[in-house]
Amino acid sequence: MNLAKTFSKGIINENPLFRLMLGMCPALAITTSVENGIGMGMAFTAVLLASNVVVSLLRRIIPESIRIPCFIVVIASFVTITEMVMHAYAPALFESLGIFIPLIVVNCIILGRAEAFASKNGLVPSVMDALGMGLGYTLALVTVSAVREVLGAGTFLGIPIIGLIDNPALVMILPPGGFIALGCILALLNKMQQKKAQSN
Amino acid sequence: MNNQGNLLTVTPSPHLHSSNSIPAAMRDVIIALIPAFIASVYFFRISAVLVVVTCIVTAVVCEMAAQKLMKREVTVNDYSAVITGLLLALTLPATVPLWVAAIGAAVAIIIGKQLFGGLGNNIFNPALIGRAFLLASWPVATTGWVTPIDGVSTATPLGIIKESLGSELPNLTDMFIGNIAGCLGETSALALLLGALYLIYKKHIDWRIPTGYLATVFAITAVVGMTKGQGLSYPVFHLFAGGLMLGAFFMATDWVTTPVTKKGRVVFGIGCGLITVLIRLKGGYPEGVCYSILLMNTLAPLIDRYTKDRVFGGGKSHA
Amino acid sequence: MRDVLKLGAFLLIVAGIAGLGLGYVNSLTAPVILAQEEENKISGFQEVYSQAEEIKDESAKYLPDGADGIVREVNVAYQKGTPAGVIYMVEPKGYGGEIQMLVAFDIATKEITAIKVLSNKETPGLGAKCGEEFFSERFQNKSAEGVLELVKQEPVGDNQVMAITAATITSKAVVEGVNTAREHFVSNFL
Repeated sequence: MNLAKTFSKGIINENPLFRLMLGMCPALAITTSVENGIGMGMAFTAVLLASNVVVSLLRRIIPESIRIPCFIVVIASFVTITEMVMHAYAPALFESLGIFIPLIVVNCIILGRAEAFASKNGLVPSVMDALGMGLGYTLALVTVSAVREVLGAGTFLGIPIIGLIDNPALVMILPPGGFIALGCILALLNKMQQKKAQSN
Repeated sequence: MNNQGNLLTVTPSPHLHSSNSIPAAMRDVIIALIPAFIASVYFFRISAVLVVVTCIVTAVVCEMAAQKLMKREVTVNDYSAVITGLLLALTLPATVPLWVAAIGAAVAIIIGKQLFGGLGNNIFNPALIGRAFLLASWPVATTGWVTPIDGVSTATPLGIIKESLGSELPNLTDMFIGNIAGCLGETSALALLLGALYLIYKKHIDWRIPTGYLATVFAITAVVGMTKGQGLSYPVFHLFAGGLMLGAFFMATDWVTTPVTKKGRVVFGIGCGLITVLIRLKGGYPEGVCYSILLMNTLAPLIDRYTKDRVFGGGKSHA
Repeated sequence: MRDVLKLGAFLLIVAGIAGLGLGYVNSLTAPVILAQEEENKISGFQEVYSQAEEIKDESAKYLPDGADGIVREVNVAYQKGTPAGVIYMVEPKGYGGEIQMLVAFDIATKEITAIKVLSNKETPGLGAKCGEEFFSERFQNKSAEGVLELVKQEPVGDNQVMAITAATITSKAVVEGVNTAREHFVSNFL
């Protein structure tokens, strides 16, 4: 598999959220505004990139039998670092993402990529994999949060969309709205893929 | 060998014939809701008519459009969309903006019903999905209660109790007839009971669900009323207040979203009653009928599973 | 047995390196975080009570039982060495959790100078509006001497505050927070 493919597979064909159905919990919880979606996506990408790099570099010296605890220590450390840096330099974002930053530790995509990809591949492919997966997840979060913010708050990135939506449907930025938005987006994507498969 | 359509279909006996069909049953439900509709028009005048018409028209149009888009058979002639629209309208206040009512009807039909597979496949009562969506989305627009006839802004009886803001509670006779603030179709217990009796007489709804529901609410509030020293008027107040009558007879009895076993229906009614009282007395909202029925809808398949009669001679492992 | 020791040692080293790294990052970010929190607090104080020359946290003196009840902090604002105002931090319980807010009183005028909601977990679009200016303005210049009362229509009495539409529980909580601070203020500073 060439590098370009390693990078691009995370965006569409193996999109962590829309195709692999991983990392659903933050995707439902923090997607109340596009700003949150971007922030979470970036924090996630940073952790994934760092953990993929370290795991890939150490893949030959980590003993097979204790690889999972080693991965977890690496991931947890990077998550904590991300959390501290965000707290210090982006306090507003830190407040609104709340518990979901520390919970990146248990985001199955990161451990999944460490186990399934970085521990078996060299440094460069692992970096491409992390960037692709990170971008794919960020795009997915932004898509869900754009739908929710526009319909539920009548704004996009905090800027009011005047005239279009004066009385937004609050439910869309409440928890049920997360399920409704994610479900509808998934249904649409599946429909589009079916069409593509039929025409091929 | 393309003679599939010419074959005579033979099924094993017994061959029971029922003159019931979906449209006929649905028509009876509409007839049963007419007294409540008339009461709402009497109490809330032209705005009631507008809300009802908006909801029904939107529901029917959405049903047609969704079925066309999903390439399903268009079944608006079975009246089920009309009922969903009508029931939704009856759960809204007279002051609701018409575009809000229309969105509610669209959500009820598209998300509550067609996305789950259409009539017979929906997990939740579509009208209540529509109402829950509206209540969460436009809490101010959907709770603009007004007094009947003169339309002065006020609180519902349950709202008065919950927020204890010093207004006086209406007397029980007014509550029974419907001369109180509230949703279009929930104020008049009398009109709802008339319709319910017709449905029970026609055997369209099972008396077990409403009885279990109302008895549970009555029993718990009677105990609470005694500890408060208010005697019997307290449980009677809770029976006539809010959407309990409408919910118990017309929504908790929906054929699709409730258990099919007799025992299961009793359990379903009791569960609805428990959750309703819990929300009314302890929750954040003044009224809990809508959420109680939706929550019990999710449990309906489970209730069916545990209350199914064992097949005779089937053995324990098949039970 | 030797295998276990070897694996254990390896894990120990990995965890040790991770710990060192975390400690280093923490030493870089901790002072920034602390300075920021301090700054937020002071700018919050200034928003509710602007004429102070010096503000001292005197919770230890005025809350002898520790942070009992919903009053968390008592900050006294000094002017020329004498107390001029008091800024309370209270945390009444709202619909979704605690509402952290500041309530400031002026000793000379016996009035509420301002209130400010610092953080809340109320429903977006409903109770969360308690943090907006239109609501906190309703408390400005209310007398500290009478109990505040929540009403649903336009207030008629001086001690009445109008609730946020469709968010009575949140409004009640904020009023309760103000009233609790008010009681403490009246019995300790007037």
